[in-house]
Amino acid sequence: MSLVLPLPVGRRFARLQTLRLPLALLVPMALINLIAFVLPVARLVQISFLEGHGGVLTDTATIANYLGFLTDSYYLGLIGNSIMLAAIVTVTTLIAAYPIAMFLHTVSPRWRNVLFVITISPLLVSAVVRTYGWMILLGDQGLVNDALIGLGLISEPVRLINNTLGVVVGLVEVLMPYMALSLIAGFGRLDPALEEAAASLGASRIRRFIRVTLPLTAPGIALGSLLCFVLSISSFVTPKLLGGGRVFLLATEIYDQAVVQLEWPMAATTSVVVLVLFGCALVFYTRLVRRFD
Amino acid sequence: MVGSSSTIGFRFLVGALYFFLLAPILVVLPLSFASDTMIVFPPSGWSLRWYEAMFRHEGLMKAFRVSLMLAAVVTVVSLGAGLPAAYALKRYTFTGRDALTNLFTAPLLLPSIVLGLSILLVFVKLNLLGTFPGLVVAHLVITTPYVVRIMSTALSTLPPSVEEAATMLGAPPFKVFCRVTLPLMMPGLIASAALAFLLSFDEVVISLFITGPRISTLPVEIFNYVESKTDPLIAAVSVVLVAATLAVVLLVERSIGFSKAMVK
Amino acid sequence: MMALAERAKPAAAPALQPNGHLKLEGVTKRFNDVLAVTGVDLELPRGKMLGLLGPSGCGKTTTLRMIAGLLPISDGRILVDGEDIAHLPPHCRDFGLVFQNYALFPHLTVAQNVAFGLDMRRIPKAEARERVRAALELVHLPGFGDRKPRQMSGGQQQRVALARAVVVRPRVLLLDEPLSNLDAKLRDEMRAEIREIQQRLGITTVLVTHDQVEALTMCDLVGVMSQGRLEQLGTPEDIYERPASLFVADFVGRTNALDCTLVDARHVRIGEAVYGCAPTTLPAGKVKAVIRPHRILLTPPRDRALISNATNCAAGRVTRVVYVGDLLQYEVDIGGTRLAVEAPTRALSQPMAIGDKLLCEWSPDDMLVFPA
Repeated sequence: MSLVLPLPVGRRFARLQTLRLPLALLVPMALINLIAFVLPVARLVQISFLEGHGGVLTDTATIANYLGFLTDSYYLGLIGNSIMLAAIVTVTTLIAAYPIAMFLHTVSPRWRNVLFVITISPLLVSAVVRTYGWMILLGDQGLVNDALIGLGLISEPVRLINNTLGVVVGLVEVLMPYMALSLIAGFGRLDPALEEAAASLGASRIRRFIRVTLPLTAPGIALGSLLCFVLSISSFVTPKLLGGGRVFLLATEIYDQAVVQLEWPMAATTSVVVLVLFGCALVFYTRLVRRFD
Repeated sequence: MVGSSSTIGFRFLVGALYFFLLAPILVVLPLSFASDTMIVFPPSGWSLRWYEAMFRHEGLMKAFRVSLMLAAVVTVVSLGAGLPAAYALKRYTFTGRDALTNLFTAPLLLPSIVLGLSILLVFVKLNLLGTFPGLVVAHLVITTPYVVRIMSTALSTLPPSVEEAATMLGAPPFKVFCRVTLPLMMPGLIASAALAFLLSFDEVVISLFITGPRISTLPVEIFNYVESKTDPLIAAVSVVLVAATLAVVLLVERSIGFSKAMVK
Repeated sequence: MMALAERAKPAAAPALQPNGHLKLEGVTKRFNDVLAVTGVDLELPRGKMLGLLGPSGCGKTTTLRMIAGLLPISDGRILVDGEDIAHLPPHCRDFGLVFQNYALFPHLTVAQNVAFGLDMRRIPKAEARERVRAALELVHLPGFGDRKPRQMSGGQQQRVALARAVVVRPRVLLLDEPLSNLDAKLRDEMRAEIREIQQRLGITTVLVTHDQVEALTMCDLVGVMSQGRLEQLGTPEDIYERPASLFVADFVGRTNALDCTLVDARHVRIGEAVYGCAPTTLPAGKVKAVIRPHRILLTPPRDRALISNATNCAAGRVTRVVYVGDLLQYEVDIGGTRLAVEAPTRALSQPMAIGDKLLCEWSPDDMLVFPA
């Protein structure tokens, strides 16, 4: 009938009240993080400074990998390719997703929820499946070519996959939901009263867009662009499948070096380069945001 | 907004963009029923041969079972590791709490290709390559941050005073957790579980580094198949995958709605 | 320790009368290097209600949480019926706690909320049901058992929280600013109800509040706290009439605190005039004299002769008049010093106006002296 417990339990509790319990709760998560994240990343950086071939590593520390990387025009070409592809994809995705975000901003809440779900639903589908879908659509005997031939615009199929164009199209579609999410969040801070005020002051639709809507949604644009850029640079599945082995990027090179050629130090070096590019994009983004805040 | 949504032109543009967005997912459905042996669109005839081929394909079926089992194990372990961690991070204060929170979320910031390579390099020494436990650990690193984030958010909506009230009424800490904390966190729990499951089931890049001849997952097998062959088999697989994902999402939505109704 | 184990046996079961005689000895709480509560000593007789009163940050809630066991104490002892309970975890102390935000379980019905503590004590279902029903009646919410907390108003939720805490017949009941979240009218009602319930059940209770009206009207004992220290512990009358420090005098009730010089044990000088004060042992020098505004009587100058020499009298001019309905609040300038004076509205034949010359009179015993 009573709550009072015998003394030993009381003492046990006093110990619990100290740091022991939270520490115990954190151990499983910390273990996973250590084994699968901290250790691997540390090892990655370490290996980039080692020598080795064919899956065998030596213990000699060297910066030869980096030197080789930065002096080889092939690798520099990879960097250029990756950055340019990411830039093109980012701009295109922005242009494609912006109208969707704007539309969502203007419709009734009921429709907005439905459309929002539809907009992010592709994220639930594996990237492989979506890329495969593009292979179907863009292939020589795919939907687009058939339609173009049927309309009489071309007589022979146009090469739409196994090249950079296919990769761009695929990446844009894959990344649109991410961009749309950022833009929608950015639009959420746009007060409709501001546009009405601009209209009442005599601004035309285009003027309103350039002077009111665009600047106010800029944070969403910046974040979405950062996200897309970063995801494009590190994207692997879509470029590999839609590029057909003919599009050479940092990500595809890492996989090739690691799994096919077993040149692990070079793969590690390339990975570090990707991380550095990541960091640069992030720094650029924070500088930009700070300037406009 | 003033007038811009009402133009037909704009609506048409948005419609076209949505069509573009959903096209690759929608197109696999008709293709899966094609009778052609190559990827031809639109198909010249209709048949169920590719569904039959899928069920008869041993490699794919085995990989499917592995993926299912893997996702289930990963989900359970993610919750088992992420839930206590979220509780510790949210309900206790200690030095380094913020740093630890950031550390737990950091794996999401790394590109999966880099993470995959890094894990490969460590698993080589640990003899975890091409093993089921290895895959579990690799998947855990991308599912657990989400579990921690979602459960942390769920916990922050639960005022500590409610748990304290239960304590004062005589409930020992474990009973407080079972009778008060857990029921109130149920929607978050279901959402994290579903997300962890889907993330693991669809995971391809990191798995590419760890799978091998001894063990493979469905996304990896699909990837390999698509790279080498050009028939519509994968369309059938894709349809099944998308349907299964939809089923999971609907199930989750129902159970979250149900558990939210319990709280209300 | 034996006594604790013995209490576990149901033989002690005329626990219909909750037995909690609460004593705090030198209770202190340190957060890193900051002292949140310093050396609190108090003793609360069985069945009485103590109000811990003070401004935000004074340590009253910290003290309450230490009594509850939700916060470990850094130093000192907490005794119930002579036994130190500091080692007991909160779920073993058999105390009830009513939170400021009610903290009802949102996923349970009102009846399930109230029954929670009984469930933890493994009370049989039939008895529990009856006790829940009785508790809900006690707080004037009969038949509300099947509702969910979110369907109820703040005041109703507060009552459920109270029912939930008392249904288990705790040894001590703790109330953490239970009325802060209610609107003024509801607060008045609940004050009376809580006091009535507490007295009817005879539970030893500690109430934490920043509202002095609550403390003075509801409690048998009041402890005024400031910056972690217990400034004074006494009956409401003690606290109000005989404040032990300037802080208490200032915090409880409205007051005038005048800078003056102590001339001798019974006289102070304010400006040019000398007035009588309550006897004090302070050394001569700069002090603060305190008089309550309603202890000052306003008299028209023509009645000067009627005032005895034993009464303090100061000539002044009205500088402000505020009408508060049942009171008139005046500000009177007596030769450079401003006095706040209060008078009930019906007592004056006509209210004073700004600029009126009049006399302020008050008894020396009403003027308390504190260190400056």
